[in-house]
Amino acid sequence: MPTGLQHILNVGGQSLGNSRLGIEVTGHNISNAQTPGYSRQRPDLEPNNPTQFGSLILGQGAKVARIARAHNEYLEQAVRRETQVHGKAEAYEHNLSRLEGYFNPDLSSTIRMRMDSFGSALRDFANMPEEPAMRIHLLETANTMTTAINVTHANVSELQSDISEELAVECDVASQKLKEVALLNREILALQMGDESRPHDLEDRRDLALNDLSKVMDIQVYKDDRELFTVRGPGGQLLVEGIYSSEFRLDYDSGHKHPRIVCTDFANTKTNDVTDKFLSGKISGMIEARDKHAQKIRDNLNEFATKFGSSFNEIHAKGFGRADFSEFNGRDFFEGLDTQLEAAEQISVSRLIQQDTNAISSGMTALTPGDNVIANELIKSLKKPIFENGTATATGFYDNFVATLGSATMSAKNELKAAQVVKANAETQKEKISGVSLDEEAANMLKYQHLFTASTKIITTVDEMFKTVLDLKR
Amino acid sequence: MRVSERMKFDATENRVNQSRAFALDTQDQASSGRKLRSVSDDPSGTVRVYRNRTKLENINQFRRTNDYVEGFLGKTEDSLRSISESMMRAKELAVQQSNGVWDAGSRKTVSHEVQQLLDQVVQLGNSTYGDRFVFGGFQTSTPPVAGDGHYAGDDGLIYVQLDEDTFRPINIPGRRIFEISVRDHGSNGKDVPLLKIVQDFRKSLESNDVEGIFRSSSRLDGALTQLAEMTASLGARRAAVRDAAERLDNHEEFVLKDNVNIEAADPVRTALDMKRAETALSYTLHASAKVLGPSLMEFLK
Repeated sequence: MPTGLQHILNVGGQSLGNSRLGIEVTGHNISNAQTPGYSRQRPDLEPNNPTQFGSLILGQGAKVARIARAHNEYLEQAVRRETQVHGKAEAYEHNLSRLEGYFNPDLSSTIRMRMDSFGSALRDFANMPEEPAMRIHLLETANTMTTAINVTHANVSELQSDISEELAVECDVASQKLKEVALLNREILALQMGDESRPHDLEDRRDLALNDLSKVMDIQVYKDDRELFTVRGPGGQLLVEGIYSSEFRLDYDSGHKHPRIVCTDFANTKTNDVTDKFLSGKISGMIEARDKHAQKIRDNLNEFATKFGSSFNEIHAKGFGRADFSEFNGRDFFEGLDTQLEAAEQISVSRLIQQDTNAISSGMTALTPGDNVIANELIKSLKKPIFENGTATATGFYDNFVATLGSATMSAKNELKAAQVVKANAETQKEKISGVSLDEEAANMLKYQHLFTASTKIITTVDEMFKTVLDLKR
Repeated sequence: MRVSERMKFDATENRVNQSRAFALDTQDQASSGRKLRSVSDDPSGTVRVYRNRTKLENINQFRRTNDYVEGFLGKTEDSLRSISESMMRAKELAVQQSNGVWDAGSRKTVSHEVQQLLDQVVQLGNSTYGDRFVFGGFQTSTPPVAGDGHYAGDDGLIYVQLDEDTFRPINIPGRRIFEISVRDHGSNGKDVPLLKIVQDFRKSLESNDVEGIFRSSSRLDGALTQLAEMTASLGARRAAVRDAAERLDNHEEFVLKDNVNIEAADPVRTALDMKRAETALSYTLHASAKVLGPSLMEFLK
């Protein structure tokens, strides 16, 4: 017998519960209004199934069918994608800016400025090859120039090893996040009870972990029939499946110039070199800066040192020096130009010249103190196009690679700006759906409060009706 | 459109950051006075600045070189002129003494003056500028003219870079002066050195050899012509050096201007930008304070 005062009391009681639940969910939303990754929840009220009462079909009040999560999978995907793009752009711009800093036009210690001083000292020397002061000055400027080359090389290779160290950190972060996703997969599996009752907060945390992972690398996420996430990473590498996850780490013994990034399988028995497979995310930006731009600069510096040094040596060797060296030729000016090694790291003025500046060649013929033919040839050699297939001088070559780096940095900055806007846009789109609005929650609170008051009114009314019925007997 | 709490705060944060970044950038520009602060600000401009700086460094250098060359050429010219004058005096004496009115005694007296002229020319031939013998060719550390008139230098031409593309010789190797090529029937087809001419002249005076004096006179003539030519060519060289110096000044002005255009921030524009940044920032902060605060919560009682 579904109707009667008892039944109305039940409906009122359930409604009381519904409104209490409404307030509870509202409270949960408000307390998470600023929680990153949180999606707002809302109780979905549904009327209970009606029953037949005589010839009538009567409603049975309302129930909370489920607590829904305001969430859009496609927007979530878009955010992940833009986070990856932004992560890459940010790391790329950051490291290129560091790299270009070593070639800043404000610096007076750049190779370029030192080259100028060296050329100047060389001309002074050619004007007065007999003068010991000019020779000493030439040696000093040559030393500062080679030091500038050494220092720049050291800066660039230090930047590369810095990036490698940062990569190790990012690998740890990624491994951590993968573990977290697998763990959350496990907890979600344990807690979920069909479609109606889902552990939303855990799902939010899993989305957040994947979003954090997107900052670091490119991932694709698939959902299986148990609502568990399978994550694939760079080059289709399987990262998470069900409750299992793989790890990233740096391999220092691969025989490459720089440590490589490897990914383990779930059993941690095999590793796979994925260094060149990152398409976006922080790691790919760092690798591109390290292996492409910094390495290019480093190679260029080595080429610069080798070619400039040996072309200078070639002419210098023809000449005769002063005093003890006025009858001998065949000496090098620079040493440490071995192309097998890092010439930019090794280049220096020859030890013989360091000991005695008279060993610097100036003349074409022996025993001619005022002969400056070779010195003039050396001046001219500074303007010889020996780089880029005979089209660029030493300074021209330097200018070119610095300008190339500058252009790359400029476009990296622009890309970053664009990525920031696009990412912010995607996040706003997501927030529009999932974010908590206090105004809305205030209204909800009021709504459920009124509902609560009204529901108590039903109960008191029924109570009075009971009383009336009981009073009939007296 | 739904506006969530995080949207409100994130948007505010972004806007304030943007305004601050702009303000910081203009502030940096204003305090440094530079708009070119990294290569990526203007990659091709940076390269031009690099090149201009090289040019400026070189211009300073060339200017120093110019001063030196001017001194060196001046000294050479002075010495050469004095040598010419000595030779002129010898020539005068030769013309005078070839006249029959003079006797052996007077010629002997004159020979002493000629000896003095000879010594003077040797001394002038060993002129130095700084520590360098100007007439020695590449042999700049040893006296090029021996007491007997023998030339000990070589034929080295010292080239010096006057500007980016010009190398010019600054010296006259002494051989051209002291082994002057005068040929006549008494020289057996060989070049007679300058000092040999004077020495022969002196000997002719001592031995009262009128014919010898006469020949010396004509040889001195030839030598003088050549010395005059050389002096003239030195003058031309000095003019060229002065031209080069003038070109350097013009070029420097141009290069400096170009660098200022690329590197330096426009003060008026920077000042306007600063004002704009200030306004933008204060409006953003004001607006944020107004928008962030109120929510429906506060109005429901």
